Amino acid sequence: MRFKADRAFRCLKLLAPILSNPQVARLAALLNSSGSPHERVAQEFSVRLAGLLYSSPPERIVWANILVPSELIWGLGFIPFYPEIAAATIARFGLAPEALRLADELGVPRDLCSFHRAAIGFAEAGFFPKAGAFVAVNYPCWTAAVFLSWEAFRHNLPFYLIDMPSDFTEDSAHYLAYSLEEVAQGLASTRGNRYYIRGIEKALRLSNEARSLALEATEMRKFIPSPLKGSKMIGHLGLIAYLFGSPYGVAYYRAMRDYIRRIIAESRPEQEKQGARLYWMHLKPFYSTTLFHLVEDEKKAVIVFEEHSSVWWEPLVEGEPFLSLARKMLSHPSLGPTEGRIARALADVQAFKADGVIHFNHWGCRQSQGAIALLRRRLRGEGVPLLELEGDCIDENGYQEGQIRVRMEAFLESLGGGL
Amino acid sequence: MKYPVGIDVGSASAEALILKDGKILAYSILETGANSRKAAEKALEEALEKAKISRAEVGPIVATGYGRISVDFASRQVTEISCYARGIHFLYPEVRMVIDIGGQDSKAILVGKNGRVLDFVMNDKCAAGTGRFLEVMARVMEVDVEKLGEISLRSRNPAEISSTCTVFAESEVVSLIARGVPVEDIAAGIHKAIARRVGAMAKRIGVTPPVAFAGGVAKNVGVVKALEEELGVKLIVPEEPQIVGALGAALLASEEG
Ligand code: SF4
Repeated sequence: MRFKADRAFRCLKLLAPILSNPQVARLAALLNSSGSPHERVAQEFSVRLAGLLYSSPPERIVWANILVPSELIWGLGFIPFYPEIAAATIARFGLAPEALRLADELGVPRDLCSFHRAAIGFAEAGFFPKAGAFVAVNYPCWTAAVFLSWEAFRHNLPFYLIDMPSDFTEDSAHYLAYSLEEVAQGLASTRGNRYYIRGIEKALRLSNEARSLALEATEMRKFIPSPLKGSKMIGHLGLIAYLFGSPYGVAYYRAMRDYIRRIIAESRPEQEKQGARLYWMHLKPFYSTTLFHLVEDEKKAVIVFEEHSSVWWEPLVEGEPFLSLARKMLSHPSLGPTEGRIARALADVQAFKADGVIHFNHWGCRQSQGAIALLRRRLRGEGVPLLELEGDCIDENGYQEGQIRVRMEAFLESLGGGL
Repeated sequence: MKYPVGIDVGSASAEALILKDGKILAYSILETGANSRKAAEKALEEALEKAKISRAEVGPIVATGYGRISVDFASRQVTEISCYARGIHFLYPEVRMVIDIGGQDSKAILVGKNGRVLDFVMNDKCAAGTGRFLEVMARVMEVDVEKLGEISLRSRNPAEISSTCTVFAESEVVSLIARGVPVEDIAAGIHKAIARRVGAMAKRIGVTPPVAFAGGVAKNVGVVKALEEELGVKLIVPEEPQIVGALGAALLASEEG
């Protein structure tokens, strides 16, 4: 099977050594003068990351799934690669259907989440950077762990599974911390040395700094009118998984905080006209659609905050890196009974004065949809309307424009927009 | 004074409704066919004829339904969800939920005391639980779809149709016919299958009586009975269940003027 992406991929590999140069990455970002400052940092980081991933020796690269803490990987001196996020990035360029077809041909069941199916397809086509090791956490979904272990098996490379306890207690935190330390030792040994604790501590320091700045930015996003365009923020969700523990995380959130401060002072919100205020849950389609044009430009609704933008964890403690990373993982709102996630949503709705909630139900994602009925009931109990949009974040063939539009319009009408 | 108009262009039928002093002056119902815009034009012309007024005397026009975007002569477009809620509230202010089964979709809407939508759920991805499902089954049974309801009322022992997919249900019906199961039992089984599907959808947002039933399929007494049994409530069926969307659109138009 020939991929449309073949030529672009070859180009990327050729340019990788140049792109990995921080000055070149910065220049590439500066060329995009239309973006806001934090978007430019995001772009700079993406260019550099792509460069590093495709020009570094495989021993430096660790494939992981999204909740494996990036601080751990950066801190150990490796470069993280999250195939799920790569699948979303590539879907943006309209290439996911080809990868999904390839996964189909390999016999991957179609009711699996397309983030993983596309990742399997891209991996099979050889489009992903080569790795030295694989780390998976069996949370929020098992598919990632299965996929990563399969890739490790195929290439005869080390695979580490982080077993996530289902509740947050002191015991479970120690159990998880032990598991993380084992991963650290294992990864370090793939390069023939013990890990360097200073490296992890530095990553924790950077993560904490980014966290404080993110909190400041979050606080300012409560301002009315809403300073940022939520659709852009949802677009950055994948990137955020990489940022904590890297200097780019600090740069990104500092730029965002300063930018929000400035646009509030100058009364220049990104979205001029603002009607209904929406809180966005779960993900969004990553290929091109008219969904956000409809919401923000046509209907003038504003996405005031996103579930995955929230900073849910306490500061990390440098003296106890593994335990505090374990605590960070265990305090994730989606862990354990769904009450945690619902409570977080309700608190955000209140704090951001949202009129309604949108939940994008991604096909095949059990973890986000399993408790949707409960979420609906609880939100309704608090007088907060919920709209479920059904679609696929990666597979554009699973997106019905007209049907999504009718639901979205009806929901906004019910919130009072235009009736 | 101008007459506000609502036009509902659904996948199967198009309706136009004209209001005068807050009352229904005239309406038309016809098949949509292949061209939504033409259907809207024709529906309006027919309603104008019945009302004995000219095109120049109407306005504003609000379009709704799946073909609303193609009604470019409307002053604005509103979704059928909002229009059904508004229309049913006008006819029966006490109604708290309206279920609509149309040609190619079905929906359940929770209606607030002011006629606003509180919550809604829709099925427009699959033919099961829509008028199309009935059409397909009636064709297999070689029975006129309009007669299916009455036929089913004679049933004492409704057949069990377990497939939720139209294609599989169709083959189930074929084998029921081959086995010599009486036609009324098959018809009742079909209605039960629809009611189960739509009932499950309505339950997702909470069945809140009084419940009204609108849309073309509400004319089928067999589906009404099966849905009442499924939901455990008596359904309010408007005299002309197909015009509720157009009525809602016309009411919204009257608020514009
Ligand atoms: S969308 Fe759901 S199933 Fe897919 S990777 Fe994310 S958590 Fe797992």
